[in-house]
Amino acid sequence: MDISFPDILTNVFDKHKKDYLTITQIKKSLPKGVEQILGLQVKKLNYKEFVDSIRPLLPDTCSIHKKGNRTYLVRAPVQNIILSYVGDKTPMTIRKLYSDLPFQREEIADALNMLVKSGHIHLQIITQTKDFGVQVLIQKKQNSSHEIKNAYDIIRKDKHYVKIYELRRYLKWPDERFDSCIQSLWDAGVIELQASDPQLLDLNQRKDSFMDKTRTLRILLIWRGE
Amino acid sequence: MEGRMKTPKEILQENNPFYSNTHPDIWIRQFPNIPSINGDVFSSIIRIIENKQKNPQEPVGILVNGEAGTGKTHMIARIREYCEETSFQIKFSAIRPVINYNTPIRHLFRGIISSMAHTVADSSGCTQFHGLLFSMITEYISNESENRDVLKKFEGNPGKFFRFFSKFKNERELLYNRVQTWMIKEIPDVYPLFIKLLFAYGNPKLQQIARSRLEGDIADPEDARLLNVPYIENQSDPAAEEEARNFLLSLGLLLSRYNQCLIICFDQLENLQTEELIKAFGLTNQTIFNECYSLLPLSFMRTLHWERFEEILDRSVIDKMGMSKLNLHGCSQSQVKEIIESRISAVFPDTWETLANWLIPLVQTTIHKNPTSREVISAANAIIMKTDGKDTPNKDIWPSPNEIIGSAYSNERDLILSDLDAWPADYEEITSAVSIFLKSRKLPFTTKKLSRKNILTITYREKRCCVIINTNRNHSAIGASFSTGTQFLHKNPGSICLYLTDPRCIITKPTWGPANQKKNDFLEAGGEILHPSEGEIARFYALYSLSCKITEGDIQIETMDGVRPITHDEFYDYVGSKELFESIFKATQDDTDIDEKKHEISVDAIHNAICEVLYHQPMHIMRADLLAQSLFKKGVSITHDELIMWCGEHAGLYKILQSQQGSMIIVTGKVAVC
Repeated sequence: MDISFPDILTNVFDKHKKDYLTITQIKKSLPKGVEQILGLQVKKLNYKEFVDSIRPLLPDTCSIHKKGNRTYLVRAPVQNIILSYVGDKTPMTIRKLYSDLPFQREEIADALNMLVKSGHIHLQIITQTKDFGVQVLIQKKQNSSHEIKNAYDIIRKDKHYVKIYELRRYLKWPDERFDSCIQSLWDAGVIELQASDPQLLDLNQRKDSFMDKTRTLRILLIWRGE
Repeated sequence: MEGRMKTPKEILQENNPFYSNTHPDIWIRQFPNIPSINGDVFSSIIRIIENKQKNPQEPVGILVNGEAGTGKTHMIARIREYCEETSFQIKFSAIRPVINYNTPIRHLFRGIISSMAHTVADSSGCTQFHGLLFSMITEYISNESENRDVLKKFEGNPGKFFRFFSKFKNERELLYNRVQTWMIKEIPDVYPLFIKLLFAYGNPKLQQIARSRLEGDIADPEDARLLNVPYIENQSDPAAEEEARNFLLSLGLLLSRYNQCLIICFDQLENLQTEELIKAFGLTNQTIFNECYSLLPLSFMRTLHWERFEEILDRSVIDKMGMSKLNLHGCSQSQVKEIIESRISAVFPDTWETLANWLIPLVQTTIHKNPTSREVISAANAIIMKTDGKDTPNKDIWPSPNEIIGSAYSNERDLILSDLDAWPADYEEITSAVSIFLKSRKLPFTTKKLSRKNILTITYREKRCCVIINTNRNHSAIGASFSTGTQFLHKNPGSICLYLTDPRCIITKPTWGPANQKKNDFLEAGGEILHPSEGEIARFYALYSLSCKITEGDIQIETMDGVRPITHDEFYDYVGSKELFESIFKATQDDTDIDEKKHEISVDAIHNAICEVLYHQPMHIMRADLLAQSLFKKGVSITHDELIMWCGEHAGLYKILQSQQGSMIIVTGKVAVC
């Protein structure tokens, strides 16, 4: 079975469970069969020759970074490496991030700015013993549809529907957000809203239900998932 | 306007197929079915029915949850059609909500009788009971090798069999006697009285009294003699319950013998508003599950109401009732299109495409995703009602609550009148109607429930009025009612006492000496007998029926602010208005003249006259009151009520469509009649 150099690199990174490795680590970890692909005996190559020989074979997502005395091969864009690294360690200070990852200050700063701009992270100023520090926090993606579905599944138990006022009270969202989300899910055919009998509800329960555009009070929500 | 082509909107405004958004009658298909709408629910029901046929003793129930307008009643009508397609090998019944919680089993069995005695379409008077009798007779004859070939000529058709034997009465009676004796031996657990009454029902002369006896009523010893069954004086409620239970069990045993089953559709259950009534309904189901073979209950209910039932009923009943829980849903875009096309093509068979092409895009832009069938029909109706050139509906065009209730009531009354068999004499339903009327007129009253009759006492400005409502056919019960009335009049000088019954119940027979004496005493004391005409009694049942529909949220009003259900308060306001609603208490009408004239005209002459008028109308459709006037001009004297009943009797030829202006008659049958 033919195996490419990028596949070999993926295996190496996976084996080390890391997204970046020093060139030395890569060189030592390559399997024997790699010599057939490179056409060279890896062991006989010096450091520079090795880097030059693999550079043309690297996939677009990989890049070589130098930090201090070491040179690293990184298998994903800097922003992705940062997001993945911060992951469940959030919050993490920028100082710690810089010391742990194989990137220059400029690279870290550029990537963090881009991540803030795209809403993937936000930064928080904290006080430290002598001065201030900055923490990186992962912004959990706001997926309203998922949140509604999760709440629906919790509330409905063994029933095939939920009462909208129960859902609204459970989620505690601002009314505008809740109503617009319900409306867009309804428009998309993901949910079905039914009128039911308003006389079975008290005034507050009716208020917390959903008034549609034709001013019909919708009381029940059924997940159709189309 | 003259000479100008009418626009699609104008054409639809004249004969609006979207006026009514409720399924009017489960026995009649007014508009074609759209099989895909809730098709999964229907398929599941059929699967469960087939399984029940194979396993008659399995305690299974079906619960169909659906909000107002999702098609609960339509689904019942579809199940009825399915049963009809099996030539009623699968029997069908629909039960209205129980009113008296002391006698739920009798109520259930009366409902079953009413459905099983309902004429099957195009069957010349045959009913599901005839089908069951035919099954027994066929089995008996099949066992006799020398007579087996006789069956061939009937081709498995009960209608042919009963028509043939109507010419050979003695032979028929002989055969009936042999079959019932054999059947009672064959099924030792069957209640012999039930078998006897079933065969008596198969005799056209005894049909009515046999049906009454099955319902627990017997007029006098003479009727008992005719039926050849023991005479019973007034049955107590517990005794009547026990008898109804035995009849129910026997029916199940018979059905299981022939691999048949009976579907029992419980509709309008939202009207069970007290704990006692819900428990009575639970008891009914418990009896079906635990004691009966081959009976399959289907409960149709709005979702949140079921939660209330779950709180009140025993877990074991709840589990069995909801063993198969099915949910009705809204329509897809293609179903929306189908609803519109089918409705228009039913009224405009030749020009429907142009009209549908105009209406469909307009409806699709106004409705939301997955609308209920009713929302689609309402949206279409609203578009048709809009004034040309305006984006918003014309305020003056929207009907007021009184107009909505008025036309709903008038349509309901005509619907009942066209199929009075589906509304057997029922003192509880009449009592409900009287109560609604009195409440609407703000007349304080008390209700006293006696065994199988109710007494309402109204007190107004120090005057008292007693209304005795009785549909029990027993001579003693009738006599006792008159005695109660006489006593009331003696105790309350200057007061009024009314005896109210259904026109299908006799007041007294000449042979009833004591009962006649009590009636005379009652009249002498100042009592009054109300024996309404069929048209008048239909008003009572219509009041009751409309009230149930309002509870269900079925009567809706379109306003500038959107669509909403009509409320009970609005209903009471309408009935309470003397200008809008005529009193339900009217003296007995003398309709001898009308009857004589009607008999002078032949059946064919009436058909011809109706067809002649309707075929000169665009779309062969006309308002019933205008049609009656046109017929009068042609020398056919027929009242509006008689016309409605006539069309109901000939449902294969004429359809009665509901409209805001009242009932419309449309010719749908073969032209050959004309």
